[in-house]
Amino acid sequence: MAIDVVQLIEDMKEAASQVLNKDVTTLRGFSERQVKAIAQQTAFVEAGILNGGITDETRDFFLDSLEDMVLNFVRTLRGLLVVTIEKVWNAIVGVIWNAIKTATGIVLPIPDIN
Amino acid sequence: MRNDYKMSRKVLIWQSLILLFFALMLSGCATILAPSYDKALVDGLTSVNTSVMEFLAFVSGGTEKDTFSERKEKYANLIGRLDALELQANARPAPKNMVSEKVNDFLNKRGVPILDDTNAPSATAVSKISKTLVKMRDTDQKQGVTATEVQAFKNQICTYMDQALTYENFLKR
Repeated sequence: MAIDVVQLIEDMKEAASQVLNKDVTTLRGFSERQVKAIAQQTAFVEAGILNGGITDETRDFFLDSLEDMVLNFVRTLRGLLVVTIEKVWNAIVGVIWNAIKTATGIVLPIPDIN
Repeated sequence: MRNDYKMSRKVLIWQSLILLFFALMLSGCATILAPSYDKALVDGLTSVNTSVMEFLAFVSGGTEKDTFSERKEKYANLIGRLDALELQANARPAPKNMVSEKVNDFLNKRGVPILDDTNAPSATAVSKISKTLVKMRDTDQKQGVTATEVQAFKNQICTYMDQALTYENFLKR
């Protein structure tokens, strides 16, 4: 049985979309929360330094921490993207390999992205 | 007739074994780019998050250094639990992958410092929460902390906790 290319493309798009639609919502929500929280903390620390609520003892700690928070936000975002790439890869490869199996009866091992 | 039956049974058994072999290969070869989900770790994070928030609510009005001894044990408890969770998060095998390397190359070419991916971002976030509480404890012991400082510590902890919990929950796939 020959592979229906049009159907295969549709199935691959559907498999990828299912993963992406769900994950993009999570990624967007996380990014919005983090950007808002870091911006608010920046303003809060600045106001605290000016009005004396933040003392000399903690001032440098809070200022350095702003940079660290941004850095780990980006690292977390990258980590989430890697998981999404993994899911999309496995979903698409699963569809392709299933099509080959259906058409030829041959069961192939799924290739590794690494 | 009897021999034919024996032969066809043998063929059937061999076919089944070959099919099973390929099925196992297929199921065992899905690409893995990130650490595995750890429910115990997520439960631990959720639990320590509640404890930290309760403690911060308790001291939200600020503290005096004279009463530090009343809080000393609580600080030790929270910091110890966080350090244990960081260890747990880092103890998982982290697959080295091409995707991370490509992202690092992309960032490097644009002058952005390469992001260290030795530890999971959640482990780093937990480590930062622990360090935040250590700084709060040391300040509390030295001079007490103001209400503004407590709020700033809390904001910082919440941001890192969001990073840790979002990442760990996202690993459930």
